[in-house]
Amino acid sequence: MHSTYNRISTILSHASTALMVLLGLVAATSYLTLPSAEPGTVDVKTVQVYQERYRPNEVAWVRFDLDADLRSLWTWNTKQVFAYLVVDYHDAPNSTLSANEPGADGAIVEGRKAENSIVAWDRIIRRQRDGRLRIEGGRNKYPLKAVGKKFFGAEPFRARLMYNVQPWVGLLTYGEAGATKNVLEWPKAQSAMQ
Amino acid sequence: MDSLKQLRKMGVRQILLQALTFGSVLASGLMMWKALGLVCNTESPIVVVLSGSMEPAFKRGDLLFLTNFPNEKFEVGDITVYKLPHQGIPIVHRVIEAHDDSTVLDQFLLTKGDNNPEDDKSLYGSRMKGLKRSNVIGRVKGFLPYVGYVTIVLNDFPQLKYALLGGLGLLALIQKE
Amino acid sequence: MDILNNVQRSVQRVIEGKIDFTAQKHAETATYAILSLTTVLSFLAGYIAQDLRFSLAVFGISLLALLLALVPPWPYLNAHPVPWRAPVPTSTSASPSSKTD
Repeated sequence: MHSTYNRISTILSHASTALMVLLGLVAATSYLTLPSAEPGTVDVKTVQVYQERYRPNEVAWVRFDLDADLRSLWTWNTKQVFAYLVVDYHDAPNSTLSANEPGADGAIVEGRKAENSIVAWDRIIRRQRDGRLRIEGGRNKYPLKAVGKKFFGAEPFRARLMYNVQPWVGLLTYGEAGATKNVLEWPKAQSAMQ
Repeated sequence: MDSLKQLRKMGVRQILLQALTFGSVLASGLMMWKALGLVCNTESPIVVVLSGSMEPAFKRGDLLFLTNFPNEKFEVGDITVYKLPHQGIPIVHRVIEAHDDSTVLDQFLLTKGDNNPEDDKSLYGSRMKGLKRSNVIGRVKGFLPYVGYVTIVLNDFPQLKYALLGGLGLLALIQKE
Repeated sequence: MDILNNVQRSVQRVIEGKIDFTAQKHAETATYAILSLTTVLSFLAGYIAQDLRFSLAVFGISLLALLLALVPPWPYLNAHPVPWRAPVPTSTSASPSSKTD
């Protein structure tokens, strides 16, 4: 502490430690006092499966209703919430998993039963007041592509609304804010979507 | 003459001692990095975000803490850092499709940057249709903003890096105690 | 010329920033104490206000105040100069230690 340079460097080095402690405290308390969202409702209204010409994989389109309130997830350490609708289903036994083409890995195993989760829709919510989700007749943002080539014959699916809370500093957290009440059947493919 | 010799001897000793201190600082840093990698089971437990493809969640220069435990499956919504075999730079993107295969104990993942309109299929190239677990370095668990920006600046202006290294070295040699 | 010299000397003094021993000790303790207190206070302030930015603002302002209070060699940091003994007037001035060359 005898010279100007020495005092600046001592104070700044203590201050950076103190700042890290402060941010650690913020991260720890916001993780320990983590809010959760009230379960909302997810309703899949229609499912249509198409077989496009010259494409091996079927593609599905869904229409859904969402009603959920994610505003409770905002605290002083919430930067944004990523809300996403997930479709989960099991492939029919013996369907081939084309995500792994023979060229890439070579391992094609018979009798596999893949477990699939696909994000059908998502939204980045940056402000608390936008956290009230009320969607009617929403359509999937991303085409649901059957990795096992066909949906028909695959086990029925369910859809769930998930969220990922992104803090200003600290740990990322995840949670569920509603799911379909019952499982839904995959219909037979209609051919050639224009 | 005699005292001059003694002084020079002291000088060498002093310089060597300084070099040793400098080396031990570097070594302990490396040790902590490797220990953290061991605990988190990943080759790089801390990464700096280099692109804006995950904005507004992650900006350039934000620091991410990763884990990659073998018994934890990747799920949709997880933010992963992966490295493609034909590309050197790790990419931070979110998993939007996960296909688990119980028979071969692997997962096939499709990722997408929150800020990108398209998924990463075009990034993977024609030979890969999805990521495998072995492509993934880790899953983002923790977040610290801005701190990594220094490394971006140092990478963008390499002269600054050498100036800083030289300055630090000089300071370590000059400073007594 | 004399004024110029004086200015130069005082600028140099500020840059060098020597403070007395008592102040050095106090500055060290004050840095620890104030930064620890600041950390706790800014956390509480942010938590109560539910505003992270407010918390960081409290921290930043306190840090600036601390730097301003301790870095320049203010007169209060030189209030305890070491009392040197008055020079002893001696006619046989050569000290024994300097003779050994």
